[in-house]
Amino acid sequence: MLSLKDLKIFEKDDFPKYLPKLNSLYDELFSAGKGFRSKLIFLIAKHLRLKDEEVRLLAQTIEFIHNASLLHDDLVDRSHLRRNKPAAWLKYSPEYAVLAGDYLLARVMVNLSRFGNLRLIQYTAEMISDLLEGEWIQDSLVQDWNVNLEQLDQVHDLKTASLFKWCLRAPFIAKENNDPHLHEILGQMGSLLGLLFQRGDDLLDFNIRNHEKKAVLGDLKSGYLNSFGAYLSRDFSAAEKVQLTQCESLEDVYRLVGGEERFLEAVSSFDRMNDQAIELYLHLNQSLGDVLSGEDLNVQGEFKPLARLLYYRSKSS
Amino acid sequence: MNENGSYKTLLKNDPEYRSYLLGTFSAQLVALPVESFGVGTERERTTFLVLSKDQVKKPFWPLIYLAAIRPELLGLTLGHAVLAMLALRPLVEKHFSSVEDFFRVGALPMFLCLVVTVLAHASACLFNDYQDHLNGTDRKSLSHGSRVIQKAWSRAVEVRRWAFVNAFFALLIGLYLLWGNWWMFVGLAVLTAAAIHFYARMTPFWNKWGAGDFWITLLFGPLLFFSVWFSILTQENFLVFSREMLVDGILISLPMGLLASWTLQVRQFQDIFKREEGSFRSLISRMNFDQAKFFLVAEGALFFFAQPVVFYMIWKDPGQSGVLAVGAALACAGLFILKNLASPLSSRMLKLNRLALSVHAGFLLLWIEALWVR
Repeated sequence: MLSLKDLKIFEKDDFPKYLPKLNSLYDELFSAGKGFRSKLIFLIAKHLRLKDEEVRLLAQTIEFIHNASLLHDDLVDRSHLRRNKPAAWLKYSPEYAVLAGDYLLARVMVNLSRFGNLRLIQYTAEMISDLLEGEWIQDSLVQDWNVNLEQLDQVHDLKTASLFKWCLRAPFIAKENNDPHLHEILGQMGSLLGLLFQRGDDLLDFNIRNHEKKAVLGDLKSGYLNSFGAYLSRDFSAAEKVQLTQCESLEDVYRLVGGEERFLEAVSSFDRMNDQAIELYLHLNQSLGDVLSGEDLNVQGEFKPLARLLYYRSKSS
Repeated sequence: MNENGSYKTLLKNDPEYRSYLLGTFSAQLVALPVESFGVGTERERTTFLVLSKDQVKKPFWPLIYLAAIRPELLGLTLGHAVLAMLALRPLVEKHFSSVEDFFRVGALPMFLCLVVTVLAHASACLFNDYQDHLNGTDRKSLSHGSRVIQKAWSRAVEVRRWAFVNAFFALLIGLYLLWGNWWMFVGLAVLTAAAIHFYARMTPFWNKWGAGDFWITLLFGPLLFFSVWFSILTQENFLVFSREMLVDGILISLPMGLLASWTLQVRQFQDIFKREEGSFRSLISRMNFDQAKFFLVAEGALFFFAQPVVFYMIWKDPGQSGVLAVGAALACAGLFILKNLASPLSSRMLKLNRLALSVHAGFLLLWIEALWVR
């Protein structure tokens, strides 16, 4: 049985040896990632008793797609850093970054077609198109300072949550369990995980629970109002919104909202709203008991801590 | 139950399912549907957030009623009824100049016409909210309906009760206004019921061919105008009608009906990102974002300039037609907002509803002014 330690996303032979630059680009890209999504696949798959090669295929698929999206995303956003290293488009070239991303997506389809599960191929293709739609729409929201939380949630549902939904659903599709009830519940749980992950990530931009030491106010400075920004500014006047766009530091943001204390109150209120989403996630996880049986039910235990972990970025909290 | 409430998931065939949707399952608790799967199918399943009544902050009940009847849409109904009354006088003068005692019919039937319009408007809004709640449409889009049920300000069963009360009084007063003219009463009632029914229940296939737009144009245009006219003209057997007046009547009411249809299309366009098969009731249902934008801009421009043309065709008044033409040119400036939309999720999409209602209200005022001056 495959262990989490043995789970390798790609082997040297997976990519053509005569393309050394491509190989070195992938080496750098994959070595820096946490591989959270592939670990999630592994945790689910072990309870569904999937074969090792199936687990590897699913884990590789999600990591390839995720990393392809990062290669493209960094170029679209003109981000200079990825995982504290120079972004691929900057280190190699924008052309190489695009081709490397495209190549990963092509490999996904090659690998999945070999596996031969048509439903899985179709669902994966749908997920990739959702991801791209989300990326496209998000780009059209740059400099839109009046966008609201509901609209951003819809973008994130395409861009971020589609990957989480896939992680939850694909192992069951690989096992040929296509019960519509089950997939509706898993889809909704994936949506909530994506939403909570994104909202947690957006808080890092305001230096809240920023254990990863991400750059502060990065989204705001690149012209993008993220979910917490939209929540914070929901009752702002037009003039206050303009001031928000001009904030250079967190101190400027504190001043705008009436002090650090007021800012932290807004964070608590945002947390309470997301606690409600976590409750809904836990309820849906509980309702998996109606559609799963036997050993498969053990996935509930794996799912349970995820929502809190992804939002608060810490198991203990 | 914690301070955030608790969740409960029910299947359509659970005995409690309907009582949770209607809000009749408990006297102390309220249930807000937060998520529905397989809506309209046998495997329909809804998750409710169950709260105690004390956890819900409600405004004073008249404010809830006011929110539920969607006062922002009164221009489409009450506004059209006022316009129909104003249009009646010059029409009668034009076709029956010898009739001097036209206004002897008095203020009462006119006032009652306005009351019926408001009651029918309220009833339609309340039924719409109730139906959207039962079939899950209100869970798909946050811009659907008044949301008094979703905010737990009112239970679905109460909304339905108020819808029936409003419909009952609308019918009662309508009956009084058309007393004795049974064929007319039955004809108008059946056509109105058919228009509402077909608009609400039209299949996606027919909506793709504009059936929804047709019924809306008919409902807010000729049907509403002729209902008002018949209700006034039949008083004291004062029914005077001719083929010419019928043609002019259709000509006057059609542009406003088309404008109402355009206004509702713009409201649906706001939700184009979340479009679900069957949830759109207009030609927009067959279009993508860019096609819908182009269509609404072209159609809007056409309908705006139809207003001065129709006014000139009936009354040959270049002055007032010119005022309406200036209004049409100004309204076209608003179309640039539509044309320049970059994304189906941009914040400007949220302003379209207000833009469409403002354009409609602007034309309504211009028509009222033009008819008043005459």
